[in-house]
Amino acid sequence: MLELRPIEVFEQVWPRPKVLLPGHNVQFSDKFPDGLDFVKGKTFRITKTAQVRYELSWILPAINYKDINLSNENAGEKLYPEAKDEVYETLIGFKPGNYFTLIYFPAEQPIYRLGYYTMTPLISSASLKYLGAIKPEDSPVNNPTLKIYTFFKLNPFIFRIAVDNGVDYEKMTWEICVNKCKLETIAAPAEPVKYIPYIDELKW
Amino acid sequence: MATKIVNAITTGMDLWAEHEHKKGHLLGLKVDNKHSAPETIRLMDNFTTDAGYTSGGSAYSAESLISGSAIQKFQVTVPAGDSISLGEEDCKGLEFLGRAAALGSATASGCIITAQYKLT
Repeated sequence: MLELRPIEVFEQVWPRPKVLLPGHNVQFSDKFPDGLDFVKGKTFRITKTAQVRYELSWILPAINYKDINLSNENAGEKLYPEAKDEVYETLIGFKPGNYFTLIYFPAEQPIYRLGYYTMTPLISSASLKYLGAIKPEDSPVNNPTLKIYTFFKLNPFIFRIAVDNGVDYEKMTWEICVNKCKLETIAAPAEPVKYIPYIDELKW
Repeated sequence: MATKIVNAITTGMDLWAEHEHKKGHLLGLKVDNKHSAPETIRLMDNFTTDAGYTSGGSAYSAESLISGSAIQKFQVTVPAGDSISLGEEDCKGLEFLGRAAALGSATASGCIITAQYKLT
């Protein structure tokens, strides 16, 4: 449901599409909550796609932050689908700047943390604000590596964007590509298939 | 790359407008001062911040940093009858988050400011 891949290096490279395309198969984890039973444990074939580009920017003073809700809630950026037979594969690239991002799902529950009880991102801490922080160079606009999968009625992803120390103000700009995918139910198993885990499987 | 030529005016002349999703980068600046007195040119960054929170969690309201509250990014004084030219290397790192404006210490039609810039 969320990917942030390190830069991979291979000796031999076979081309692989960066996004889901028509004819691709996707299988959703059976760990999805019952409220998302229209995808929970199911396998689909992508019948059609469309890529929609979008940009968002914010300017904040140093050491300040803002929570960006990606969902279709009133306060959200409304980047989620509105139909049960669709999945949005959203790539987010960050323009260069002195800022970082912490990801929460749902609100106040960080995705990236460590096992010890204090090792959770904390924006007011000089050290813990960098725990699990994604910097612009981790997912640059010319090669975004941060990808999220969203569905109808999914809880909001919260991106906490914060200006880092060292500048008075910073403009934080995202270049977004929403790959809209129409789903058609097929009988599992299907090969090859892209497995999409529920976010709780990433928060171990 | 784009170019803008303006006169020195105390109330300021825009070099470029704010772009919602781009920063402005000054690539070159020439000030040709044919005025009878030295001219001090200041480059100002005009923008409005978004509302957010401080690191301590207190709410922070949007702040308008425009005109008198704009952020000064550069200053140079050019003697009467003289000119200065700054190249890309001199301007490296001079970044504007919003609208860029040039303010003169005196209004002088004989003081010409030429700015080269790009928005990225």
